[in-house]
Formats: sequence, C-alpha cells, structure tokens
Amino acid sequence: MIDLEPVTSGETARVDRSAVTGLISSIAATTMLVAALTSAYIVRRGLGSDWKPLHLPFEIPGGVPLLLFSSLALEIGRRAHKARRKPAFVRAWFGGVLLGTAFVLAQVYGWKQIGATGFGIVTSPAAAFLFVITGSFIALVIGALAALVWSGLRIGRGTPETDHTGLAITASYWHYLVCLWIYLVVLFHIRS
Amino acid sequence: MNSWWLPPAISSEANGFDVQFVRTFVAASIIFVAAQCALMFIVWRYRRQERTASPDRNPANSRLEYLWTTATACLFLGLLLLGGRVWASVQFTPAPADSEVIEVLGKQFAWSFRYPGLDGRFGRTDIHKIDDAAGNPFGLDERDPFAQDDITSASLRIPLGRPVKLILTSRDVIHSFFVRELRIKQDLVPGMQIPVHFRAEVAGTYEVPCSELCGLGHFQMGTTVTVMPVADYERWKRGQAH
Amino acid sequence: MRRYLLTTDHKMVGLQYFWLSFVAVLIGISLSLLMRFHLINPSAKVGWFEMLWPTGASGGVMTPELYLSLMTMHGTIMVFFVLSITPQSAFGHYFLPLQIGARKMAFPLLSALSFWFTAFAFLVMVAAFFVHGGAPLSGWTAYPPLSSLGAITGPGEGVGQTLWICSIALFCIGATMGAVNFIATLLDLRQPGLRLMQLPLTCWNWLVTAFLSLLGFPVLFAACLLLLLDRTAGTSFFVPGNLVVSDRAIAHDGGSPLLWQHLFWFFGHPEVYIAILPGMGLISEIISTFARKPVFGYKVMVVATFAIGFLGLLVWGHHMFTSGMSPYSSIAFSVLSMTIGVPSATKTFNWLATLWGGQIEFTTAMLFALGFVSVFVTGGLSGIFVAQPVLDLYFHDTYFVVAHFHLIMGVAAVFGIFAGTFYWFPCMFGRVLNETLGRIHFFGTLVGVYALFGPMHIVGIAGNPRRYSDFSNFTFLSPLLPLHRFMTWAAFFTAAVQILFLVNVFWTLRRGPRANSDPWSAETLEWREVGALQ
Repeated sequence: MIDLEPVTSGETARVDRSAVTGLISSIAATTMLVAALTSAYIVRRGLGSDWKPLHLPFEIPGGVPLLLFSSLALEIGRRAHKARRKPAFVRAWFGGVLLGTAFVLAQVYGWKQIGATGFGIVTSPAAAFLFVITGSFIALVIGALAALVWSGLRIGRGTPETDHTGLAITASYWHYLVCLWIYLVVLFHIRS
Repeated sequence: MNSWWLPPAISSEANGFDVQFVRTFVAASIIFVAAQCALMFIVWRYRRQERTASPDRNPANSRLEYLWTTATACLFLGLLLLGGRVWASVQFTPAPADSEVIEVLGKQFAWSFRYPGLDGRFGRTDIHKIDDAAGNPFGLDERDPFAQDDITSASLRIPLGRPVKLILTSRDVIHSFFVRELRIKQDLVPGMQIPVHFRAEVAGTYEVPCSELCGLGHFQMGTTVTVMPVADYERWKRGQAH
Repeated sequence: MRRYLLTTDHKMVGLQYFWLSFVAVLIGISLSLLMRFHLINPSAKVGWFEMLWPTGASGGVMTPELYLSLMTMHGTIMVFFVLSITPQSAFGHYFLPLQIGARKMAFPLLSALSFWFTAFAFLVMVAAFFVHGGAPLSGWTAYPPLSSLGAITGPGEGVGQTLWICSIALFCIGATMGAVNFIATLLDLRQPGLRLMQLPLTCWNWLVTAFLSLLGFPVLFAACLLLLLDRTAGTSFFVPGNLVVSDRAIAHDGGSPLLWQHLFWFFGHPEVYIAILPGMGLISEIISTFARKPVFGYKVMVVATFAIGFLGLLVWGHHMFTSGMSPYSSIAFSVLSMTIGVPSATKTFNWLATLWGGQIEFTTAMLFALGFVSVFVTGGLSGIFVAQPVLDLYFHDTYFVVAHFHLIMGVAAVFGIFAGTFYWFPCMFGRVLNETLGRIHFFGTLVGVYALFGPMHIVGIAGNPRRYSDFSNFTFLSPLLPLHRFMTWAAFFTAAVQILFLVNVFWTLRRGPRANSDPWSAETLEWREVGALQ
C-alpha cells in the first residue's frame, strides 16, 4: 500500500516519510480512543444486571461489505493515479468516497431502527454504548471522507510526490477504519 | 507538638502501619540527607576554578549504573515487600465470623450508621422512604419486621477488642471514611457495598473526617467513632432498641 | 496581526504557547493565593471578593463552594494550561526543529491548529468563571457522581462543569495533534547524518512525552465524552442507581463511578510525566552545559526516559488504592509504582555524576537546574510513601499527597520552566535576562517553596484532609493552624519573589542587553542562530 521505491522521472511513487509517521501516530491515537470506549463497554457489560442485549440492526454488520468495497475502490483509484490514468483514478477514488458515504447513511438509518424498537440511550446501557461507539466511529469516518475528498481534489495542484502522499495516507487511514469497524462488529456480537 | 504527627495507633494493624511508616521514613530521611548533601558538596567542590578540565567525550560507567540502579531497586522493592504482610492482613483476610457488622452510609454532608439490632439482621430499605428529618436516612421500611429493630445513629460506636466489620456505601456522591488512629481509609462509593474490618484495642473517641471531595460541605462532614468496653456497648445497643 | 494569528512558523507557535501559559500561570498563582488566604481566615470579610463574586462571596466572605471552585480551576489551569504547555509545546515547538537541524515541524499547519485548539480550550475554561453558578467545584479530577449530576450536587456543577468538560475535550484534541507533529518531526526531519543517539536529551524527552500524550489524551477525551453524555443525555456510564441527592431520587442506573477513575487516571498518570519529562531533558542539557562536561551516561539516560514513559502508562491505579478497587490490583500497581522510582533515581545519579569533576558556572539557568535536582529528590521521596498501599490508606487525600505532587509538578517542573526561560531567552527574544535579578529570584523561590511545602508534609502526617475549605470543624486540625499560617505566609512570600521574575522578563524585553552570540558557550544546534535574529 505504501510505496517507497525511489523516484524516477515522471513517476509518482514515493510517499513522504513524515506523512507515514503522522499516519501511524494518528492510528495509535484513534486506537486509544476506541480502546477506552470499548473497555468501558466491556466493564459496563459485566457490571449491571440491567444489561439487556440489543438486537443489532442489519446495517451494522451490513456496513462491512460497503466499507470493504470502498477500500477496494480507493486502492484501485490510488494505483490508477500512480499509473497516471486520471479518468480511472477519478472514477474509482470518488466511487470509494460514495460507498463510504453510503455507509454513513446506512448507519444513521440503523440508529433510527434501534430508537424505534424502544431502546433509548437513557433506558438501555447497551443502546447508549452502541450509539457512543458507533457515533464516535462515524465522526471519524466523516473526517476521513473529508480528507479523501480533499486529497482527491488536490490532484494536479502539488508535485506528484505530494499528491501521491495525500492519496496513500488518506486511503491507508480509511483501510484502518474499515478494520476497526470489523473489530466493533465482532465486539457487539459477542454475547457476554 | 505531638499533635503534629501521627496520633497513637489503636489497633494491631495500625501498629503494623506505624512500623512500615518508620522503616520508610528512616530510609527516605537517609536518602534525603545523603542526596542533598551530595548535591551541595559536589556543587561546592566542582565550582569553576582556574584549572581547565579535560572531560572525556562520552562519560559513562556501566558498572556504576548497574550498582546504583540495582541498589535503588532493592531498596524500593524491599520496602514494599516488608509492608506486604500488613497489607495482606488488612485486605486479604476476611472479617472474622463473629465480627460486629455495622453499615455506614455517607451522604452530602453527614454520616449515618446502622446496627442490625437484637435480631442480628438488617431490615429492608427503600430509597423512597428516606426521611432525614424524621431520623430515617437509610430509608428503613417499617413494614419489614427485621427493620423495626435496626438502630440508626449519627456517630459510630464499636466494642473494644472485638472485630468490627463496616459495610460502606453512599447514597449520592463518593465520600471516604478515615480514622487516623486506626490508619484506615476507605471510599464510600454509591452503587457499591465495600467492607472494611478491624479490631480497636484502645478505648476512646476518635474523629472521622470525610476524605473524598463530596461538595461544598466536605469540610464539615465529620463524625466520631467511640470505642467502648463491651459491656457498655451492649448496654447502649439494648438502650437504643425500640 | 493577521500574520501573527495565522502563523505556522514553529518559532512563532512556540512563543504563542509560551505567552498563553504565561497568562495561565498568573491566573493559577492568584487562585492559589486566594485559597491559602481563605484557609487561615475562612470568615474574613474582603470587600472586593463580593465585587468579583456576588453570589460566591456575598458579604465579602468566601463561601466553601467558591473556595472549591477556585481550587478546581487552580489545579486544572496549572496542570493543563501551564505544565502541559510550556515544557513541551512552547519550548518544544521552538527548539525541537532547531536542535535537530530541521527548518520546520513536520506538519506546520498542525502546529497552528494545535495552538488554536488549546487557546480556544483556555477561553472556554475561563468562561466557566462567568456563567451562572460559576466554575465547577469537583476538583481537577472531576469524579462522578459529584460531577455528573448537574447543579443538584453543588453550585458550579451546572453549566460551569459542562464548560470545563468541553474545554478539556478541546485541549485533548490540540494535545493529540501536537503529539503527532512532534513524533513525525523528531523521527523524520532530522538533518541528514544526525543519528538518533546524537540528539540532545531534550529531544528524547520531548519524544517520550509526545508518545505519552498520544496514548493518554484520547482516553481522557473518551472519558469526557461519556461524562458529558451522562450530564446532558441521561445516560448512566458513571452513575449508579438508587441515588438520592438533596432529597431527590436520581433517575440514573447501573453506571460505575470507578470506571471514570480508571479512564481518568489512565490519562492522569502519564499526564504528570508529560509535565516533568521535558524538564528533566532540559536539566540534563543545562547541567552539562554549565558544568562544561558531557552528560554522564547518555545511553542510560535515554533508556531511563523510555522506562519512565513506559512504566508511567502502567501505574495509574496508585491513585485508587482506597477507591474500592480490587486489593490484588493494588499490589500490581504498587510494584510498578515503586519500580518507576528506579529510573528516576538513575537520572538523579547521572546528573550528580555529570556535575562531578566539572567546572560549574552558577548562571541562573544552572541554579534552577540544580534546584530542580534538589526538589525532585525531595518530592520523589514522599512518593515512596504513597506508592505503598498500606501507607496510602492513611495518606491518600491528605496534605501529604498535596505536598508530594506540588514539589514535583508545582516546583520541579516549574524550575524546569524557569531554567528553560533563562537559558533560552537569548534564542527566543535576542536578549539576555539579568543574572543578578535571576539569582535573587532563584534563592528567594527556593527558600519559599521549601518553606511552603516542607510543613505541608507534617500536616499530612497528622492526617489533615485535602480539599477542605475550612479547618475549624475538627479538633485534631486546630493545633495544625500555626503551620497553615506559616505556609500561607510562605506562599505569599514566594509569589512576591516572582515579581522579580516578571520585572526581569519585561524589562529585559524592552531594554535588556542583546545577545550577540552564543552567550552560554553551549554545544547544541539551536545556538547557531542567536545574533542572527535582529
């Protein structure tokens, strides 16, 4: 995913090293945020006799294929950019963004489903955690989507190296978020 | 002047605390004096004079590093190990079966204590029956026969020389029960019932200052614990029964 | 003006952070003086109290809730807006690129963003003083349920507490951004040929501090998010059921107050290392510079820094020995806490060994560095008492702990800031602070802080609880009042001595001697540019 071959003329290949370090640091910070929320979730689940497990709406595990396809699309787009095929890049990259947006909308719809079944954040700790954890995740997704759009629109304005760095870094963070969602889906499904 | 120090200990665990405290204090004092003197000596001895030093480029001495690091580790962990037995006796041994069990309730900003009464059982409580003005901070449900003989008190009385088990809880925010002479402190956490046990060996009345910030009245949330000879204690309990 | 507001230049950002925390520390000290005054004179009538706080000090007498809110804000402002800022964000932004031979930070935009998030957080925090109910009274630790039920638990717990939480959340974002920036800068922007093991110890300490920030602040952010929801959305992450506050049954259920404590202290303990590590790095450099000797045991110092950072993430439970946490966990936390004293001691030995055989020059920066070593030892030694659970059962929540953390954070870390200011003033402002004034300031401060915090250990040993606004309700506290009076005088004396520092800074800025070249004959890279500033 991250190409570190030496730059040859006309090729867009190298990713700025400090951007990679920044990416890894951001992933570490995000992981700590999620770790804090999920450890609170696990503790709380073990605590009260009032924990009634939610019936998870379909949108939550259903979001996984949406995210996986969006990751795939972004990856196709990034490689298209590297091979200087701009139309293919635009289609794939912004297609990935679209799929990511569809994911967000699906989750919002899923929240409405939970609310409709009578599980509110006040009465149901399971619902409260679900909303907080998925809500935080969606906030990160929206930020990542904005970054993807921004790095996609910036193509042509910077050097090939900075363009490619922007694409590679934002796409990598997106792939990380996809893995995080899969982790959350597994977590929510494990019965205590 | 002796009020500027630990008050006398009134239990064997408290004596254990004092021994560990003195060990730590002696160790810390020696290190304090040695370190400050070393600093002052070095700073005086090596103040700039007209000689020029020719220091080596990257001074290091692995042996010295191992030496002082190991010595420090042994000292610190050794102290901890020595104190371990007292911690175990306080925390890992359960309260004896014949302990006098008393409930402690914290609220903004007063202490309440509940005794099970002659039937030896705590009655049912209900938060909707709480009425501080009428002397029912626990919310005893008077329909429960076991609750009818429960004794509620604003201060704690315990028998001398007998094991006592306190069950601590709070009905609003976190408070903390601290008796200096017993050298124990335990937070009262709402939603939890936390046991603490000890045996007081010296009669007297000791102050109990709340020791976890609980709001604007924290500074005046105090009560007392009175350690009484067993006969007096039993007589008091019978007198409270209704 | 716009250039100053929108700057992404690392030096400017460093100065922005420096002046922000300068304002913060003046507020923080004023709050502490108000607190110390009240403690020895709780019923004093002071006219202008009523002007500032019509409800909190009606009739000119400071109420307990006002005292507690001043105390809360004192702790919060000092820990976050002074100690987490100057040693790392201010000095670090300014000097890290210089010391590694880089032209900029890795992400200059992030430098500016992190500053503005922090500055905005400060505004939100200060705003808590001005809302209905005033600033919160739950301490800088904000334990629920006291902090999670709203104004029903006390004045200031309404909007004031909400603003506090929002401010801290904003601070977390700014701090995390800063951490990402520092790590990438140090690892990737070094001058070609400059190997990691050639870096000054300041850089290593900034790096480990950045790692701690990176891992700790997101956790605090999560905790703040959950607390905010408990307060505003009716959730019960931290609030258990069956609560009755002021005769009202509370409609929450099933939460755990201990969960907040775990989350908070998981951040809170690394936070104190964030406050002290950069100072340690700086002290190593200053001692080496003014003893005219390289740092003794450089490699060991680097390892010790990482050891402190790593262990610092594992010891948070030592704040919770009386909390109702499992006593088995207490043992684990206690062992780790005693262990973390070891690399700290190693650093101290290495500082002494650096001085040994040197040619010591007593510049003000060096004096503060030596003072750092002295108070760090003293403060560290009280740590070995409270790291033992059996002893902490007595000392927790007494003035003994207050003495311990003030000596390390309120004195040692601050000495690091003073040392850095005197040392780096020529770099940052092109002028040299007055050494005579500096020396008087140092000795006055040294005497003052020992006079203030020395007796505090004694009242702690006598069992004086902390966070009390008034000592007149317990018989065992009245013999301690003479000590408290002494400490209050010492506090005012120490604060007065700081005026010398203020005079020094502002006079030097306007008319001080310009720095023509490296005034200290130091060997690190940031001095290449001095004299080129004008």
